[in-house]
Amino acid sequence: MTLLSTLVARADQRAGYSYAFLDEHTKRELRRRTLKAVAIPGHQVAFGSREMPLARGWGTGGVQLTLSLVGPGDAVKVIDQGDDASMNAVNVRALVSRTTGVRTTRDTAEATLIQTRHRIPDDRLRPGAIVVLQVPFPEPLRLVEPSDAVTRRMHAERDYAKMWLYLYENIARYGRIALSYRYPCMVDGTVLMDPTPIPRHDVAKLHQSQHLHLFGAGREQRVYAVPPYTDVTPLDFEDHPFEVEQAGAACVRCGSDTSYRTEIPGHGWLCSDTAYCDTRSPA
Amino acid sequence: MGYLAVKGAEEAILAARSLAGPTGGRQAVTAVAEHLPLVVDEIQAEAGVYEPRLAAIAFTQARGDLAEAVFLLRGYRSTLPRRAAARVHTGELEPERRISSAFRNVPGGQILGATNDYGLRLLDPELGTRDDAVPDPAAGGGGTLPKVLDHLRAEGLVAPPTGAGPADDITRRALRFPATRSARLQALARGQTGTMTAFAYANLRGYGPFHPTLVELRVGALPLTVDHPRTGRPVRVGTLPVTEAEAVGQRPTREGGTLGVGYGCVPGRGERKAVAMAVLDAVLAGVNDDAPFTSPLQDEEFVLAHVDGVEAAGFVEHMKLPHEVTFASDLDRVRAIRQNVEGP
Repeated sequence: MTLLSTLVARADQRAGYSYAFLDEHTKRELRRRTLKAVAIPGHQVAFGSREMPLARGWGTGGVQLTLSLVGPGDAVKVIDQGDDASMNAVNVRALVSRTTGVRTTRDTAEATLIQTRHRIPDDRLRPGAIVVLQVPFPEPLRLVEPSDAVTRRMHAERDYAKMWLYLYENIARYGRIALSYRYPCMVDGTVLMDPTPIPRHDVAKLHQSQHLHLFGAGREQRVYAVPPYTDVTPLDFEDHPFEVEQAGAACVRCGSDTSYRTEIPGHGWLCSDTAYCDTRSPA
Repeated sequence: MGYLAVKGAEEAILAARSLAGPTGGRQAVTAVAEHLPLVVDEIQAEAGVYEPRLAAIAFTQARGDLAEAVFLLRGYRSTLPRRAAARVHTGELEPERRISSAFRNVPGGQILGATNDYGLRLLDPELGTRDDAVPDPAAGGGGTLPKVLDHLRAEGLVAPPTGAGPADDITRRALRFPATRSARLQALARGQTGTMTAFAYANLRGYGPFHPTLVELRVGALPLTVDHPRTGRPVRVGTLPVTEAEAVGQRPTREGGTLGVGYGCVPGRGERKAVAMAVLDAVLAGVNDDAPFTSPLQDEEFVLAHVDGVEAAGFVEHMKLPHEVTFASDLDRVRAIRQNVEGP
């Protein structure tokens, strides 16, 4: 009851808006859906996605998950492309902060709740931290089959032959698998999952992770999860093993040659995880 | 008897038209022109006429019916001769807004300009109680900037642009299939924004092969040059505000994969449409085309024949015209077949 009265008091501070924007029933329903998702790793659970004050496709699923979970004691970190200062991250952080008043942080080791688009931090997370990923395409089979009615049946029958064939045909045509990000992975050896447009570099971070990873697709109205200590294995072949991206050079700022780096034309390669790069660079 | 009455039809039509007549006049047209620049731009782009005052009049006359406003302006366009084809070089555009999604930073920097993209989209009920504000004059660009695509071209990842011959003009010659690239781009540039958005979305979401990266989006004034009719010397005749989008996606081959480009350019401020156009152009050019299913969005006839808002609105609404002759013919067959099935 103490917690509830805190929430009500906070809601009163923001005239006209509930704590964490969404009404309590919506958040509870979303947490129920999330629990189901955790219970069936990788399985897409439908939820009644709400309109948010962000454009559809700009992180409304992730933000609904974050808002359904965030409590007064949390420290929230929001990144886009690994960058806390990226414009969309600034906007999402402002929404969370304005409607909850909770503390926000850029420090990966301090955050209890991390909402992210396209990356999983390169730094070690705080024990118990939850990672919320924004999902444009919850359906990994969308690459090979446009219909949702058909892909649901394929999942029910564990029929992933079309995806295997697609990868095989890539090799036959191009000599390599052409998939770049959004690399399809088997979860717990049973369900095929889209890990969101994280680079292939980040896929290994999902495997046997200590952390709960939640995936929210607002436009597509789906939530799914990888619970801690779950197998996440990218699809590959014995003679064509899974490959991660190769950066052109070490980070020009911190010198890291293990982080995920992106190119800045005319300047070289830089860590995409800015908080990680900051901790390694002289101020 | 409604429109069935033979006598009195003309009077009825006049009475109906007067009920639907515009109530807006000078103040409404001025308010649209000053405060709703984005709808004015959308009308002009779809009509293929750049004259903001006429677009504001069309919108007011159509009582806010966007399709009707475009139609009115297109009709007006039929009265104008085509004087000359202007040449443009989009490298000369001075961006007031310029972003790249492909790189965190680019030479010349990310210039946000005027955009609501990164703000919370909360309805502002107070707006209805405030006085109109005076619009800022259009921000000028701060000089030309290098194209982000050239960085990829320098590495040979994107093919150099092919020399452009004389462009087709689908307002003078019928759109035929297979269409030339210039005809395709013109059809898309005149396309209805909602249709283009839906087609591009369907492609991105799954009914198509292409999820590109937006290498560059620019908004700014583009200088127009025509050859002087007597001397033949190039003359700068003015500028046209445009939105330009360039998107790239993988075009893998065994011999050495490259990036394929989709191009979008629309008059005025029309970012949604310019991006949709770049996506559709790339799909029709076969970029990323390794999806193991076929989609109508990969078929240029399906896309180009249906993106025109004036044609689509006109034909869908023609269902309201009398059809008693053809319907009688339908009924004749239905009755005959029914009798045949049921027996005499």
